[in-house]
Amino acid sequence: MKRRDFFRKATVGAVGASLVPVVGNAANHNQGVVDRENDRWYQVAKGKMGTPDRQETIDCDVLVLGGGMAGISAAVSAARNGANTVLVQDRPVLGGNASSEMRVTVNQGSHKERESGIVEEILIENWVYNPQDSYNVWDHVLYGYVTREKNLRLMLNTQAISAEMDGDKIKTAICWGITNETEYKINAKQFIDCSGDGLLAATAGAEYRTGRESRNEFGEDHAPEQADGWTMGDCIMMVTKDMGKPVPFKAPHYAIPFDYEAAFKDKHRRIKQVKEGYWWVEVGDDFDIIANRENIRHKLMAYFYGVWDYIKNSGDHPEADNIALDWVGSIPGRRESRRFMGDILLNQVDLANNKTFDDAVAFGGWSFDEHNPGGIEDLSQPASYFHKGVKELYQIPYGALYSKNIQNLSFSGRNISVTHMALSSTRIIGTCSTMGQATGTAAAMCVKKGINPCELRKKHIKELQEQLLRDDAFIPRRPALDKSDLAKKADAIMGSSTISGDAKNLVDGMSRDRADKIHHWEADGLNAELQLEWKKPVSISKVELKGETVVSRKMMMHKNPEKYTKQGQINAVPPELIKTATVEARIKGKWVEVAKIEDNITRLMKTSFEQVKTTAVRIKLNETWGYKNAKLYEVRCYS
Amino acid sequence: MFGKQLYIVWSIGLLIPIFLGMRAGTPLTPTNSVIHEVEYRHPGNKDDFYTSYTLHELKGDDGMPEQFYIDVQSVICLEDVCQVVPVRLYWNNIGEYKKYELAEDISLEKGDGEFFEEKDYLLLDKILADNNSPFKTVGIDEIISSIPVHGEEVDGYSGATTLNLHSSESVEGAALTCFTLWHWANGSIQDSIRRITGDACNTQQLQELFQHQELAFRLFALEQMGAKDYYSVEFYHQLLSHTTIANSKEIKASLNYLEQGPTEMYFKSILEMVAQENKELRICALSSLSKYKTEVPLSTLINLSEYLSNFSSYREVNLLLSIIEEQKASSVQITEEAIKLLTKDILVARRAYWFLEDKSLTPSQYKVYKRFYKKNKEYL
Repeated sequence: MKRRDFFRKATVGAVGASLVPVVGNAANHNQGVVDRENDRWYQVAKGKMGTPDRQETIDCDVLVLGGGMAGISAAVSAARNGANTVLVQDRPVLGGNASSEMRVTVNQGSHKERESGIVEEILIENWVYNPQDSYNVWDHVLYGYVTREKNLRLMLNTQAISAEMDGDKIKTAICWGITNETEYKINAKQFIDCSGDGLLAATAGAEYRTGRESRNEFGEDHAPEQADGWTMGDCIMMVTKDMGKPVPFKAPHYAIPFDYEAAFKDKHRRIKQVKEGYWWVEVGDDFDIIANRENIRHKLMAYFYGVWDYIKNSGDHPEADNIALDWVGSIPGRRESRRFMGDILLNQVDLANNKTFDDAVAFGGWSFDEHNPGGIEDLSQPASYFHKGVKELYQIPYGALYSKNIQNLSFSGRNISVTHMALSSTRIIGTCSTMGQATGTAAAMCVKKGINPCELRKKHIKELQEQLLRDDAFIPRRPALDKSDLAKKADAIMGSSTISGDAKNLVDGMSRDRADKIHHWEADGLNAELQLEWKKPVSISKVELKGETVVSRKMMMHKNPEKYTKQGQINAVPPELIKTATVEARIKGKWVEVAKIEDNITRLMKTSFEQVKTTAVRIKLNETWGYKNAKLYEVRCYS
Repeated sequence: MFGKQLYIVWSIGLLIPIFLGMRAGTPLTPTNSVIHEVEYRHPGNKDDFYTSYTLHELKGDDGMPEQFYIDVQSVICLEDVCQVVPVRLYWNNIGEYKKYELAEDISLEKGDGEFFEEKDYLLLDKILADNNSPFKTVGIDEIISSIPVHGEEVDGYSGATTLNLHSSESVEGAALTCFTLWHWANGSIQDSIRRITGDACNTQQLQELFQHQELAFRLFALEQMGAKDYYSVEFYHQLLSHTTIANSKEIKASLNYLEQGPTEMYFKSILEMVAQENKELRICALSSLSKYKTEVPLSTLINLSEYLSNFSSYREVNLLLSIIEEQKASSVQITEEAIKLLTKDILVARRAYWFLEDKSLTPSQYKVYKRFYKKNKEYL
């Protein structure tokens, strides 16, 4: 990084503003981000001539920036909770690091159990529409998932480049349509920056940090003694194919020869497969990784082809003789840049000690996986300092997911309020998705109540947690206590037969088994019945169930198909999940079908029907996707 | 055979520390053994097919299977991860893991080259004996990727994941050894052993085994009785008598056995179970009946209905009335029994009320029925 250049820029304005690319006059929005004065549109057929006026103003409740897994989770949650939502994504596809452009695995935060909620819905849906595990089809699975959502407008190829402020609130996001030369002014009540680098948040003046905190600042024993500017680096990956016969490889001119002797002294750097790339082909930066991105991209390509040249042409890897590159990333996946400051700055000690937060809304569980600051450019250090220390699923507080100084701005993903060391754990995509579901749901609540995240945290955090739990998010050690759930008030709850667990578990507020207690009911066989009885009639219009998807079993898509077998995955709808069910209400002694669940592929099964007054509800669990027994974790009833 | 086994199991339990202390001692030399070829696909194997292994059966003085053992490798793959040594695993005659042995001068080693300590051997034995260990669900990739010293893909990028097992769940630095041996100890070899022992037993021996004080042996006996399609009157009485004190797992196993037997015996058993004090037994019996493959005789339903008033829970009442409705059974006796329920608590009484809605009632029954309605219409 040219440190002097950075400081020269920084002297002419705020730090955030100095980093705004593309336009210098973004703040003076009336003139537009592009000067059209000399643009003369001429159409030959009608001889029409004019100056294009491509501007659009959009009003919405919630604007989500960044269409990675965190952004998708935030946008869908906000929309489902009633907010008129816009999702802006600066790439042609959704998925961010997980998209076909970068192909980072949608890892779960803990090997022991997956996230539920939005990210799980997507992973299951992927196996329905994309059983061939094509990354390009995956992009479109995400596209379908987002675009079918009511209340949600998706804007691809659109980048938010600056914020217009009203005091300490963002009023408008100025966005640029890359493919349609259109300037958008998007007015919103709540903004959620899930873009990773957080350009909009930075231009709004939201406080942030970069680099590594010192060990003493938060008592993080994995942190360096002295604070420095290093961030974890970027990577590119590959996918190969077996050609069935030897294929030559000629390295491009820019390839950097791989110093394998030095590299292999580190025990992390190894060539153990030739299918999906090497995460240690990584390049970071010690000051401004954003400014250096294009250099890093070039370097990554150069290093990558150097490694592949070694594999193909050194003679050390005959297993690669028939292997050819089928895809190599052109856009590096990113681990770290800005970390925006919230009311809580989550650190290594919080995660390692499994701190309990009253405002917990999301969770993680990955180890402190801190990478060598220099990546492949510093072969004297291990590729990763893979610190143990996360023993259990840890809570992520809402206070770490919104800006401490910009009132209506939240974050999800790798740019939340964490120390560098905490980020080495929270950056996992599954974890980021749980944050997105939390901030999206919270933003919708803020809009309804006419408040901002800080006030929501202070006055309504339990309501937010209850909504998240109802929507199948999981918050460790936080059972659901929803008082409006009539199932909890039932005078009797019975399963037709039980092979494991107890029907009463379905209203105990915990929607997955824990190490010390099971929370499910499993019937002996299919066509099982679950019945709830109330002494006095109740009015019900919604019955919601949570089924079995085996959160201990992995469900992600891989670049290397061998992993499906090795990890015992099932690349289909989980066989244990309920496929077909009916909901009946007893009205004047007769059972009347009020709702039907067909071809269900989600853990959370919601039914909605015209309100009935009844003393009993019976749920018939007719069919699964292959498993012999019907199994549930929760039943809820609402008026 | 099984009586002696009880002593051996118990003694092994006590002698584990001694046995581990003796791990470098002379391996057991079988004097009366039989060799079986069994097929197994170990989840650590890269190949997706079954491999044939030699399973040794050790017979007791009575010539019956008493113990089984197999010789395996401590680590099934990744030779560079840690040293691979031969390990002998033992099971009892119903396939329960019992112990492991190492040959003389052989020690288990961790990933960092350090040898197992005494506590590590003990922990390994405890892990292998836990058939619900986390190793049941952890994949080989996760084990490999979590080895920081030699592992390759320790990153969110690749799809590898972290493995944070509690210190009581895995021997630190030897997760791959634990994984490999756990899947040997708790894999389908256990089924092979049960099959071999079951084939060796006659029904008289199984009947005796059903009196064993350990649940696992009783369940094994039931499983093998069913496999042999053996349904004698003598064993029926033995079984029914035992269900009154059985836990839910055993009750369900008993019902599974009876459901596969003669229909007449099955209905008789349901009537006897429903007459018992044990509520769980009654519920299991009624649940079984609700799913039974053939039509339930009216006489059985009438007999069952006599217990309606004695049931202590709404669930039992609901189950039986639902079965009667499902079977479209109708009788004066059943109606009379249902009428009696109208004075019970509101859930039970209301269930009976709705049951009676389309039944022919005598004038006196109708009076009771209407009285219930007037008194409880806000609950209906």
